[in-house]
Amino acid sequence: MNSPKNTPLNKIDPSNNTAPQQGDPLLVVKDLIKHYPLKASGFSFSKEKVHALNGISFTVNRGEILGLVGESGCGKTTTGRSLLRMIEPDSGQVYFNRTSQEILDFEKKKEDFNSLIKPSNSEIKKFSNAEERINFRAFPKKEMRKERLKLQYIFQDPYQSLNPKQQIGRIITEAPVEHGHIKSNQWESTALKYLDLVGLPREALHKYPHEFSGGQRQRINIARAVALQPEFIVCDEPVSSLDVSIQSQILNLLLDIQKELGTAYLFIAHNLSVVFYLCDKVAVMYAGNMVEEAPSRELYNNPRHPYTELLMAAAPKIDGKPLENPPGLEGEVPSLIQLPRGCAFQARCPLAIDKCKEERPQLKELSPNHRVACFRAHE
Amino acid sequence: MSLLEVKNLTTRFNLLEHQLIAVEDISFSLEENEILAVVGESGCGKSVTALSLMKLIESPGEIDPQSQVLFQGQDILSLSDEKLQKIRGSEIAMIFQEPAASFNPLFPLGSQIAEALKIHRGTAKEEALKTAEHLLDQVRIAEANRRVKDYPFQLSGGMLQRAMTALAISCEPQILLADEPTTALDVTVQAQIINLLKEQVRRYNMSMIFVTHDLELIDGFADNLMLLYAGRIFEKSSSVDFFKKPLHPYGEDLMKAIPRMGLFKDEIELFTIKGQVPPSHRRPVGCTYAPRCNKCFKRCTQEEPPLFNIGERQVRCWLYNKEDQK
Repeated sequence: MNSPKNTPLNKIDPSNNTAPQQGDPLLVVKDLIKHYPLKASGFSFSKEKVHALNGISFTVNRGEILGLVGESGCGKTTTGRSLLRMIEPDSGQVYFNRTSQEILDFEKKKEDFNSLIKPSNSEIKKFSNAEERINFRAFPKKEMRKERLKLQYIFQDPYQSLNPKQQIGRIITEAPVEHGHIKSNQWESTALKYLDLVGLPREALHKYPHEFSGGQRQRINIARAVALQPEFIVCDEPVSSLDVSIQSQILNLLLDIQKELGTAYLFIAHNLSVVFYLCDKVAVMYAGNMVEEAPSRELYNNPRHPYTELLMAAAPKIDGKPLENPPGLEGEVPSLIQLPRGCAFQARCPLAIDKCKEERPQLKELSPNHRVACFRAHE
Repeated sequence: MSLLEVKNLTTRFNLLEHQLIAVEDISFSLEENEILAVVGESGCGKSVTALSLMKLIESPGEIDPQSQVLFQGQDILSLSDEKLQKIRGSEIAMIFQEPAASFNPLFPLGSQIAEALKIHRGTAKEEALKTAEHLLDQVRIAEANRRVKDYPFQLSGGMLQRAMTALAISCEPQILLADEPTTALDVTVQAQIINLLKEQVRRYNMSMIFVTHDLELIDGFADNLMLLYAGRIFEKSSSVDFFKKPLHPYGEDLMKAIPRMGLFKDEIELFTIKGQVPPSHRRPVGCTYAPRCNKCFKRCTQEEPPLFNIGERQVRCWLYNKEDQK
C-alpha cells in the first residue's frame, strides 16, 4: 500500500528540512476558542453566544492516548471536531506534526505581530502567510483536504455513521481510493486486510451495515478510520452505546491497533473508569474549560481540582458501598450563554473563596505533567 | 405472602418472519421494602419484564396466558383495563429512561402531577396543585412554586427526572418500577437521582424494581439482583453475595470485563467475552451462553440447564448440578 511520500507542508515550505523527530509532539493545541452564535429568531437580533470552548490547550505525543472527560455540554466533542475542522474554531492554534522549534518560532512571530499597535497591510499579509503554513486552523482548503487524511474520526453512534447503501468493503476503502493511496482495483485486498485487523469475518466485504450489530459496526468504523493510516484518531465516545461485554472487545482492539500502528488517540468519553484504564494522560473539562490534566495514574491517585474529585466520587463503583454524596453534587453546570465571571465551578465548589468569584483560574503546572486550573490547588 | 409474585412470565412478539421470545419462564417475588435490580445487556428482556408486570405489552407482543403476576394475591394479567388503570400509577408507578419523553410537552409540570392525584385520589384541583408543588420541593427542585408552572422543555434532563420521580411517588405507590432511570444522565446527575430514589423509597416504605444494564450502579444500592441473559434468568442472588462472587460464569465474565476505577492498562488486560448475544430466533441448543462461555462442557451444548438452588441463591448453569457431583 502506498502512503503519501511527502507531506504537502514540505512542498509549501522548502526551507523546512527538519522533519519532526520521535521526541517532538504530534499535536499541539493552543487557546482553542469556539463560541456558537445563538440563532436570531424572528425580528430580534441576538448577540448571545454559547461559550463552548474558552481557550483549550493541550499536547498529544506520538503514539499517546489522551483522554478527554467531562459531562454533556462541557465541550469535549467540540474540541474533537475543531481539531479536524469539522467545526471551524473561532481562534487558536493547532500544530500538527511540527518540530518544537517551528512551533516556538511561530509563537514568537505571533507575539510580535500581536504587539503591533496598528499593523500595516503588508505586515498583516506576511503574518497570515506564515500562519497558513503552520497553523492547521488557518490552512487553505486544498491543503487541509490532504492534511486531514492523517487525522481521522470515529463517531459515537455506530448506527448513524455508516452509509446504509454502501458495502462494507467500499465503506472501508472509499477514502484511500479517492485520495490515491491505493489503486481502485486494489480495494478488495485492502479491505480484507483491514477486516482482518479489526477482527471481522471476511464475508463482511460485500455485506451492508444493517447486517451487523452495534459492536461490529464500531469495528467497521475503526477499520475505515485506520485504512487511511492516520497518525492521529479522534475517538468520540466510541464505546458509550455498547454493552459491557462488547465494550471490552472494542477497548482492547483500540489498544492493539495503537500498539501495532503507533497511532495516537484523543479519546473522548464520560466514563472515568474507561478513560483511566485506556489513556496515558487524562484531561478533565468543565463548561468549556480544561480544569485539570495529568497522567492517568497521577490523576487517579492525586486529583487536585474539586470537580475531578466530584466526578470520581459520583461514578458508581463495585466496592460494596452505596453511592457517595460528595460536596458539590447537588447543583448544575452553569449556563454556557452567560458564564459566571470567575471560575465556572465556583457555585458548586466546596473550597470556593472570594477570589474564585472574581477571576478565572488558568491551567497552571502543579508538578511536572500535572496541570490544574484552581486557585486553591496552587496555594 | 409476597407483595408481588411473578410466576412463569413469558412474553413473545409474533413478528412476520419469526417469533421473538423476549422473556421466557421468569419467576420471582418482591417483598415489602425490597429493592430488586433486574440487570442484563441489551436485548436480554429486562425492559420487557418491567412492561409485562404492568401489562403494557401491545400487539404483536403477547404475554403467555400461563403467566401470572400476583400483586397482593391478585393476578394483574387477568384484570380488565379499567381495573388495571386503578393500579397503574397508583399502586405501581413507573419511571422511564427518557425523562423528556415521559412528560406531555403541552402542559405544565404541576398540572401533570396534579392530574394523577385527581384521577387516583380524587383530590380537588387546587389542593392537587399544592401537593404537586410540595412534591417538587421534596425531590429538591429549587423554587418549586415557580417550577410548578414550567413546561417540560424549560427543565434540564436531571431536573425532569426529579419531576418524574415526584409524579411517580405522588400517589404513594407500593411499588416503584424504574426502567433505566439514569441512563440518559451524566454521572453527577445520576448520583443525585440514585440518592433521591433511595431516600424516597425509604420515606414511603416502597418496594422498587430497578432495571439497568449497569452492574456498578447496583452494588451498594439494591438488596437483591436478577441477572438476565437472552430472556432467561441466569442468576438470582442477594447483591452482597453476587458482588462477592457471582455463581454463573456469565456474571463472572461480566465482572472481569468492566473496567474498574483505578485499573490501568499496564497492570491488567481487560477480559473480553468473545462473540455476541445470540438473536432470539437463532438461540443455540442447550445453554444460550455456551458458545461464549469458557467453562462450557458437553452437556451445556446439548441440554438447557434448569435453575439450581444454591442456598438462598439460584443459578442456571450445569456446573452446579448436584447429581453430577455425587
